[in-house]
Amino acid sequence: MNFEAIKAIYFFEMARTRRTLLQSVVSPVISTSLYFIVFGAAVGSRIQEIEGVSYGAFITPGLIMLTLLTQCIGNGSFGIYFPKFTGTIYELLSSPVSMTEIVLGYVGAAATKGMMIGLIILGTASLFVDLSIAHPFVMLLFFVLTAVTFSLFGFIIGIWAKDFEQLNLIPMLVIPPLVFLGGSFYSIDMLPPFWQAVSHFNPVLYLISGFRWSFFEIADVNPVISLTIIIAFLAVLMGLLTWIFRTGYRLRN
Amino acid sequence: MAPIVSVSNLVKTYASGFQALKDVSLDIEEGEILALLGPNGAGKTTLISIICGIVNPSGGTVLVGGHDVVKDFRATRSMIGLVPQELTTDQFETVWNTVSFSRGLHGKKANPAHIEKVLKDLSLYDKKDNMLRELSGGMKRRVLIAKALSHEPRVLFLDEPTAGVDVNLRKDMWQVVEKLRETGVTIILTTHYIEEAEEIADRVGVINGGKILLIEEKTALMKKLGRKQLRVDLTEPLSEIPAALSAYKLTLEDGGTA
Ligand SMILES: Nc1ncnc2c1ncn2[C@@H]1O[C@H](COP(=O)(O)OP(=O)(O)OP(=O)(O)O)[C@@H](O)[C@H]1O
Ligand SMILES: [Mg+2]
Repeated sequence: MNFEAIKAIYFFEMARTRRTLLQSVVSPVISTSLYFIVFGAAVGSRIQEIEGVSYGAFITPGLIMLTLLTQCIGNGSFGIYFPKFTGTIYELLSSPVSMTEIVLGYVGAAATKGMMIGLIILGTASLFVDLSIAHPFVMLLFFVLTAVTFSLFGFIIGIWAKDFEQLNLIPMLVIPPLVFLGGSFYSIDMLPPFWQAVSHFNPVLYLISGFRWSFFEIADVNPVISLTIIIAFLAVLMGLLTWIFRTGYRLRN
Repeated sequence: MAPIVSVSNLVKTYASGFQALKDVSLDIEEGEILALLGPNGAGKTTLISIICGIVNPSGGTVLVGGHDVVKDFRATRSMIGLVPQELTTDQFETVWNTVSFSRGLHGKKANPAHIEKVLKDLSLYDKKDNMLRELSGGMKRRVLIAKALSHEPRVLFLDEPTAGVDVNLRKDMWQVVEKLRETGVTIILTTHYIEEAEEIADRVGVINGGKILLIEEKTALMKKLGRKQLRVDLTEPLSEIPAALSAYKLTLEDGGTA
């Protein structure tokens, strides 16, 4: 293992984060506050409580997940796409680093940044609503697993993407619908049976449900199933990555 | 002594089907300066890219320090420093960070004293805290050289180091190259100009159309190419060599315009 290289990549990426600190921190705080004002105050005043939890608190885990997914995919994909775009990737390719080390550096940094912003959202949310976390360790487990899995997902998108449009396609087009229809803002019990059934094909539902269970012990699906789903997704991504490494797909001519 | 770089029967066919290298074999001795001379599209960059690990070979083998560049990439790439042809830089990074980053990538512990020395040798030290986008083209090329030297390589590849570089910088660069050679570093550089190859190299390899045409000691090569050729372009075509010049061995070309 070339630990110096992992360290170098990780801190190089984190340094870029520091340069854009204002933009990376302020914008999620503002958008979260807006969600709370619109959904928490305006909509929430009519919904009151879901299964004994105030509406504002109920949507918090979903909001954190929305941010975590978007941030991790964004950072993970941009981190590796950018050197491809500028040409500085020549350095990675001509260095004594294995693909595993490259992934650890980039995905580690993307996940770290995503989690930092996730925690900021949690902090912002606690200014608006009373939050209690019933199972802090389970919460952390979901939090970290999701961050790592989706940073890895982003990394693969970054390798696959040939231009900025492809780079933004999945984060912009796919993730928000999945999150909004994944029960971020409601319990799927509130949907007609048909849409409840459809929702069960949405992987993000399982994430949000499991994550919410760790806060309030209420869930749309069994948290063990949630955990299984995310671990399965992680395994699929690792398989895909192994194939990419073996073939040099879109990295080496 | 075993060669430091040994290329045998190397073939490269790009995904487009284009064959950029056709059965290239070449040995590079430790400590020498080798110039690869060839026109645009000859395959110089492709050859270097395969040795450095940026491009996968389609056939043949490359050994660096006795290790295979594909199977034993950690050993070979730790030995190699590469200055690419294209000026590719992280515009928003500082000189110091980007050079230190290269050292880390090569698995070497941070060593500020070494980085400082490299930057001073390349007259970049006073720019160490500048972002790369604030540097001129020639300075950026020097940063790329500094990156390649940051991890103390035994073999240095310079892909067209003099493109966009003024006379002074070129002199400085040859001085750095000379100093490196004194410490035993093997240097391979590519160029379009025979004069440049002549000025700096011990041996010159001529490459064209994906093939090594010849590879020789500079002095031997110079003897061969030493015959001077003069070509005069004429504003008006001539039908025959004027009688006054008939004593010289002259020919008319291009329909009498040269
Ligand atoms: N990624 C690629 N895909 C397809 N063909 C390529 C690729 N890279 C290079 N080539 C082709 O391979 C040939 C050799 O290119 P190479 O870059 O090795 O030449 P070179 O000798 O370095 O030329 P120059 O002096 O212009 O830098 C060229 O015909 C080029 O078009
Ligand atoms: Mg070239």
